Amino acid sequence: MVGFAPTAEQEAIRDLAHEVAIEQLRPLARVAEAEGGIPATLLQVLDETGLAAPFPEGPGGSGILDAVTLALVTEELGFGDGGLAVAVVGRWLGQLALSLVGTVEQRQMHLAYRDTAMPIAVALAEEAGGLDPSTVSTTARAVGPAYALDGAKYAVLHGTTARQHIVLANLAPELGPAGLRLFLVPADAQGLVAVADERPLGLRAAPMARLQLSGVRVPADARLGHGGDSATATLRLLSLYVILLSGVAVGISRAALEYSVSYAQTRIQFGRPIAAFQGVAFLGADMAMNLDAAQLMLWRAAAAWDNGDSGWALARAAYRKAHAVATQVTADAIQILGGAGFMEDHPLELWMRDAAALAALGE
Amino acid sequence: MIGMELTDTQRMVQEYAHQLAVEEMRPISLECDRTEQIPETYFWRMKRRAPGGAEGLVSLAGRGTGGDKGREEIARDEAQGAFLSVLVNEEMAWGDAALSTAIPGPGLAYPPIRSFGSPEQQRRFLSIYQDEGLHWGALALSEPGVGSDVASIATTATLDGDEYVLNGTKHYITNGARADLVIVFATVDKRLGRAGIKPFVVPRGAPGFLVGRIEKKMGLRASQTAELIFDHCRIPKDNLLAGSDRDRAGGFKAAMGTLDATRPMVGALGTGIARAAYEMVSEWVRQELPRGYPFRRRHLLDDELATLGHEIDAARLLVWRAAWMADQRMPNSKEASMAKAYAGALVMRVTAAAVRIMAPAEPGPPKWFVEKWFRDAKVFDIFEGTAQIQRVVISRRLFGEMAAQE
Repeated sequence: MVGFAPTAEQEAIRDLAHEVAIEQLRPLARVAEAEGGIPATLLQVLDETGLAAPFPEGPGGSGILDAVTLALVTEELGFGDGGLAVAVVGRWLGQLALSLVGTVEQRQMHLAYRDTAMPIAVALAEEAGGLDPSTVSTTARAVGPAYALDGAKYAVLHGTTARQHIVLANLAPELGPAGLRLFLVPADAQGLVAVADERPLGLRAAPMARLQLSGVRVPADARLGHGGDSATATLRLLSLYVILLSGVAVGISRAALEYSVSYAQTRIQFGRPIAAFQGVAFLGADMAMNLDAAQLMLWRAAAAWDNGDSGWALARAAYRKAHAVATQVTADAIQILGGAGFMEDHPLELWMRDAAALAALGE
Repeated sequence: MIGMELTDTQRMVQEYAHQLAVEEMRPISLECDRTEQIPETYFWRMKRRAPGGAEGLVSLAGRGTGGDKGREEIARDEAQGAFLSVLVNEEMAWGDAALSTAIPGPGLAYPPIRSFGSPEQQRRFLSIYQDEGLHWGALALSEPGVGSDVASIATTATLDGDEYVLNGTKHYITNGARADLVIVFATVDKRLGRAGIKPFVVPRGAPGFLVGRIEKKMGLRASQTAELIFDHCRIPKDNLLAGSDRDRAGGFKAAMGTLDATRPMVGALGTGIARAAYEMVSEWVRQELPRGYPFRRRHLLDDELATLGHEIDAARLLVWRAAWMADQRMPNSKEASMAKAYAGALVMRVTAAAVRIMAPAEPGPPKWFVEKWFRDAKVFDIFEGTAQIQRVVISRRLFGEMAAQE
C-alpha cells in the first residue's frame, strides 16, 4: 500500500522521542559533546521511556521491531542532537544484532548487556569499503572447533568502552556477501586492540574507535545464528543500521531548517524580516524540498525492510540522499544566520560538523 | 500507514498505461516530433484504448479486473484518482509527453468544470466527450503580457444582456486550435483584481473566437500550442462556471486550484521523461560504450548514473505524496510545488547528462530520443509555474506570507 501517514502507534512513539529530543537531547548536546558520551541522566531517561531498547525480546525491551518506527524515532533523536542520536543508535546495535541474527540462547546469554551502562559494540564498517557488504576484508577462519579473526574495523561506536564486541567478518570470502557472519568477541580477547579516534570533527557524543584483530580466537558458539540464514540476517542488520543513520541525518537536517526558518522570520535587515528576500526564502524552499525528498527515500527503504526486503540497495540510496542533504542543509542554515551561524552561541555549527562526520559511519 | 508498494490494481493501471506508451507512442514519437504533426490514426487508437484521456484510462483499466471484484476496485479507485493519474502520466511521458497531451478528452478543461461547474454545466460541457467523435478541451490562462502574475489577467468579459462579450488574447494554449471548448479566465472588472477573475467556457465556433499562430517550439513539438484571439467574442451568460461565483475570490481560486491539481501530474510527466532518458543512456553505456573507454571514466559514469537513478526515485516519491494528499483531501500546495519543482529540475539534469554521455553515439534513434527528451525537458522548469514561482509557494508555506516579497 502506498501511504504517507504513520500509524497511531508510530505517532505515539515518535511523539515520545520528540519530547525526549527537545527536553533532554537538545539541552544536553554541548555537555555530551564536551564529555564525549551520553550523560548518566539521559541514560536513565532512555531506560524509563523504553527508548534505550525500542524493540522486543526479553526484559528491558519494549515495542516492536519495525524499521519504519525506528526510522521515525531516529529522525526525532537526530532532531534533538545528532551526536547523542548516534550514540543511542550505537547502544541499540548489539541488541539488534542479537535479535536479528542470534540464536535464542545467544540472546538470553547477552540480555545482561541491555541493563549495564556499557553496551555491546558492533564493528561493521571498514576503512576501505565502509559498510558495503561486498568489500568486507576482515576474515574468520575455522581452526578446529574455534574461529580465528583477522582484519581491521573502523568507526566502531562505543568501541573503547564496551566489554563485548560483535564483529562482522567473512567466513568464506569466495562466496562474497553470502560468507558474512557476526562473531561475539570479548573486549579483553587476545589480539584485539581498540583505539579511540582522537579529536573528531563531529558526533563527539558518540565516540568511535578502530579495532585491530590479529588472530583473535573465539569459540564455536561465538558465531551468531546458525547456518546460511545468518548471512541474510546479517545483511538485514547492515541495512537497518544504514536506515537508522539516515534517520539521524534527516533529523539533523530538519533541526537546521527549522532553526534557520525561525531566525529568518525575526531577523530584521533593510527594515524587513530577511525571509522577505527571495535570496533567503528560495534557499529555504530548496532546503525544505530536499529534506522532504530525503525523508521519503528513508521511508521507502524502511517500509521495504519491513516487507522483508534485504533492503541494502534502498537503504544505501536513502543514506546517500540523506547524508548529502544533511551536509547541504546544515551549511545553508548557517548561511541564513550569517555570521551568527558561525558562532558557538548557536547550535548550527555543531550540526554542520555532525552532519559531515556521519560520513565515517555510513559510507 | 507508511508504505511505497503499489496495490495490484494500481500496478495494473500502471502496466496498462506503459503498454500504450510502448505500442502507441514510442513508434511514432520521433516522426511526430520532427514534423510537428500527429497522424489521425493515433487519435482514434487512443480514443479507443484510452477514452477520456488519463481519467478514462484509470476507469478502463479498473473495468479490466472484471466481475464484482472489479466493481469494488473501481469504487475504491474514485478515492485515489489523483494517485492513479500520476501513475498513468509518468508512463505516458515515458512514451512521449507531447503525444500524451494530445490524447482526445477534456484534458486541462476537466478540473475546473468538475470543481466549479454546476451539475447542469457538467452535463452540458462534458457529455460530448462520451460520444463517438474526437474531442479535446483546453485551458486558457496565459496572455502575452501575463505569465507568472496570473492576477493581472487583461482579457475582459462584459455582460451584455444574456451574453458575455470577451476581448483579449490568450497564448501558449495546449490543444487550443483543436479544442471543442476552452476554459478562458477573464476579468469582469479590473478594479476588483483577483476577485474579478472568472472562468468562462468558450465553445469552438463562438462568434469572435479566432485561432492565431501555432507556436514553433524547441521541444514538445508534436504538442499543439496555439494563440487564441477573442474579438468581441459572444458566449451565453450561463457559460460562466457557476461555482466560481460563490465567493469573491472564486475565479482566482479556480485558476490556482487547477494548478494544485495539475502540478503533481506535471511532476509525473517530468519524472517519466527523466526515467526514459535514464533507461536509454544506461542501456547504451552497458551495450555500446566505445571500445577502449577508460576504466576510470567508466567508473565515474556508473556512479553518476546510480545517483541519477536515486534522484528519479526521489522525484517520484514527492509526486506520489502530493497526489496521495490530494486524494486524502489534504491541502497540498506546498507538496505539489515541491513535486513539480523537483521533477522539473531533475528532468533537465538527467536528460542533459544523457546527451553528454551519448555524444559519441552514432546518429540514430537512441541518440535522437535522448536529444528529443533533452529538448522536451526544459519547459518542465517553466510551465504550470516556473521553478521560481514554485519556490515562492513553498517559501510562503515555510516562512509565512512575509516570504519572498522582495
